[in-house]
Amino acid sequence: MSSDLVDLSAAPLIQAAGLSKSFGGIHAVQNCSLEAYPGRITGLIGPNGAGKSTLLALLAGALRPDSGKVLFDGHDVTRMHDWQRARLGLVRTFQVSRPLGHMTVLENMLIGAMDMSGETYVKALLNRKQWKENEERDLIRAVELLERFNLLPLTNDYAEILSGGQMRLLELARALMAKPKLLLLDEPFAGVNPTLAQELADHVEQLNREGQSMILIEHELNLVGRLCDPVIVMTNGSVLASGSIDELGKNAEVVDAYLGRTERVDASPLAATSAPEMEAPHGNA
Amino acid sequence: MSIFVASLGFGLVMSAILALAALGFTLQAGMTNVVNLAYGDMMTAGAFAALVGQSLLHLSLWPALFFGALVVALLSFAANRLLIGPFVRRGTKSFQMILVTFALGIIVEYVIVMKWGQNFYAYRGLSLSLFKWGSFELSYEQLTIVIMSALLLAGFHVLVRYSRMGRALRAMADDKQLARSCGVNVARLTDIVWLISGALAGISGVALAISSGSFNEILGANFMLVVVAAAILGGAGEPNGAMIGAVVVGFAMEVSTVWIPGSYSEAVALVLLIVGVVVRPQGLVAGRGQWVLAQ
Amino acid sequence: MNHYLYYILTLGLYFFVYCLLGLGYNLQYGLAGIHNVANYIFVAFGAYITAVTSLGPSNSLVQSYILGTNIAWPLPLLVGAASGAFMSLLLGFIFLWKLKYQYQAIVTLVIAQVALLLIGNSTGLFNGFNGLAGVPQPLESVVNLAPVPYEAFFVGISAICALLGFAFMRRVVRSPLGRVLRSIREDESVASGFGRNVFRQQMLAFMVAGAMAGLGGGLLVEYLGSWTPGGWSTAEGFVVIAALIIGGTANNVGAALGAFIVPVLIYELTAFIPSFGPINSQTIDAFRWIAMGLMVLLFLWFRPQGVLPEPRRHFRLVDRILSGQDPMPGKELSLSEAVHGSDVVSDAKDAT
Repeated sequence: MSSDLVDLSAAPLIQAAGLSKSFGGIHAVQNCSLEAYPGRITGLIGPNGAGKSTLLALLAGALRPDSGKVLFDGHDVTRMHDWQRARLGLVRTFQVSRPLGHMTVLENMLIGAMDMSGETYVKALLNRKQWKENEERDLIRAVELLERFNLLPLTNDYAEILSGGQMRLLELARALMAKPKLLLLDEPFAGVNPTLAQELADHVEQLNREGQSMILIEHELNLVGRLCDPVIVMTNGSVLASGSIDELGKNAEVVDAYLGRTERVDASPLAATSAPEMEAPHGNA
Repeated sequence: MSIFVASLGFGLVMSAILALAALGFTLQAGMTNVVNLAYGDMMTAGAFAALVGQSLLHLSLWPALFFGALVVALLSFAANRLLIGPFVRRGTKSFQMILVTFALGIIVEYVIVMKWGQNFYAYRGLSLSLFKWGSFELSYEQLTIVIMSALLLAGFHVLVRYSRMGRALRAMADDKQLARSCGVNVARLTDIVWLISGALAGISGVALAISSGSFNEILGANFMLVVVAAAILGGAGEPNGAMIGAVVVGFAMEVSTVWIPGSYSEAVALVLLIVGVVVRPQGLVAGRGQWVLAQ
Repeated sequence: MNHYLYYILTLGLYFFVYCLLGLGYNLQYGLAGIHNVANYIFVAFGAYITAVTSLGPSNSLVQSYILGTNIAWPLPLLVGAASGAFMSLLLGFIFLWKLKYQYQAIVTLVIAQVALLLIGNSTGLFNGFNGLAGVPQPLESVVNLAPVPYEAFFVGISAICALLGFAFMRRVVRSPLGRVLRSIREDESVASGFGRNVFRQQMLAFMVAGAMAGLGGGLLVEYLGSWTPGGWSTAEGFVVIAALIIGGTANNVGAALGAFIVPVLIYELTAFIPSFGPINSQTIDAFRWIAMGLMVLLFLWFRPQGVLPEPRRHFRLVDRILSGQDPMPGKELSLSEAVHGSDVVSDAKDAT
């Protein structure tokens, strides 16, 4: 479940307080507060339309909240764009796989690595030696990860030809290249056959044992039970309860939320796309 | 003051022509999701078709206008069937589609040049008499254009709002797949949309040529920038918005000549466009505006 | 004989200039995925600024314009390039900021058209629709050559510019910068999600491309000696796009190939068709545009990636690993040393 190395008195890695976000008349997220601790896989569950993806997008910075705060690793990131949060170590995967189609699997992995060297015109032109070195280190790391996820035969293939399951694996491997302090996983097992889902779950479990902190949105309660502690339950845009999966199973409200009403609130516009919606560009990090 | 009133008169004419053009353009963009850069050249084609109608078929002015409309309606229909439709069905990305229509526009323009060169032409039978009402001063042709435009726009509005075809069109604009599964004959309606929008391009092209007195091969291409400004300001993809946008832009352009030189009136349209995009990206009329937000 | 030589030299000049323009367009469209159909405005602006900085002070009787600083070569060219970049900065704020792709393209066109109309109507700015003439040729007094050798000299200058552009683009494409730009083209959300400042990268790419366009415009105006607003219309701008589509988008050699096929082959060689009977020069001129349009349509249908598609990137290091060879021959590090030594995130503070 959670890493044996976890210090239970550690400060939370990420904290959200009073987050709210509405789209038109729909209150996707209302006054949500949560915490996730280092070394754990914090689960985020709830019926369809509960606002889980929206909340994740708010944490990642892909959406700007109407109100509320987000604190990550000691920084107040509320006003930061997603790219600024990513540089601090907050990385997410997408509910629908987003490979960089007309680039190779290997190049996808290189984009995941965020050492940023050679990415300005000056550095690209004048400092070739340095970025070449960094690139080689990243390449080796990429090869190791690809091997670990059994994607090595596809290294030089364009990502767009990958099967759905392979794209899921690439999505995860690419995110790991960023060496994230906190990894946000939006339904990483969705749409994948059960065998592959188990394989992915094994990877996730192993990563956590190695110390990777994660927040995981997932519907399959078996997987949640196996991987996550604690688990946060959302309904109708708010946090309903949190605790271990056993505790939640005994919580009448939680059971009600899952078995009782059928929420047919339209899933947020975020479900398939996660385009950043910041209103104004910021010049510098 | 009299200049101001006179400019209102010109604004009326400009809005009338622009509304027809913007409506046609918006229909193509909104219904079939194609930003047609050849639209201006279609307008030019209409103007020259009317010229042919006059010289070859000896039509008088207004029959020539309808002849021009007819020709462009068929031309647009053919363009969709033979060129644009196949590209769209293939899943061509939106920017490539723009390049397709860009190329089409160039071809249309230079076919016209091949036959007529780069000269100015005018129609026969343009009366020189003016209709005056106080400071208001328009030619009889311009007045006719205004009335005709109002009738056509009203007719279109009634069609969309109250007829079965209108309902089907609205369904199609909302969600093509859904409309198809509800029994709407999307293919036939698409044909009709291209016929109607083509006719509008033709009519507005001839009207513009009449109102301007003389015209050349870049009549429509030059007008495009104003059409786009009106369409986007009004709410891209929204026909009602296009009409309102046309009124705003048309009047603004003409009335501004009271204070600033006439050669800058296109700049006025552009400023409105930019202000509109920055301040209210969804346009003046809150509609679906899908192709604005779509990627 | 001289006449023929001069003609070949003119073709050469157009080839090199269009190479430069194509490379710039490759940067903004092929790499960064910016949808711009109005690149010609930057060419025109660069041409104008180059002209008015190399001309002497304006004499309103002959032609009136701003500046007229008559500065020494190569400064007018550099200023022309810079002005292209500056114009890109201004326009970039408008349409890279809030607009999405379909919208982008058409608004760029509108802006460009209005800009040229304004220039044409402001006689004081760049001498209105009559345009500018008598632009001095670079280094004329320094390099004392007869007309034809001088033109050869000038074509040589433009060739150097094209080569520099080529070298620049080659380095960019192979660098992490090139990779980042392509990732933005593929999926902005992903690029953003992995720490890249998408707006800034797009803006910079746009500005560099604008500079290259401005330089191209400057070279043209110095060669032709004059410039009118009518000379660069929407259709002219289409030539660059057509060249890239046909030659190969996202491919530098493709840009050169396109520059050869479109402006040179189609555009210029049709001038060889003799005028006879009903076919006069105007008809032929119109025909070449129609031919270009048709060619673009054919390519968009049958081969949208162009003759030379984007090359697939391989990394020698990885290829060696995959085939079981020693990945880093000659280096002291072992594989895992190389990996675990990389926990230092070296250039992470780069404001990109």
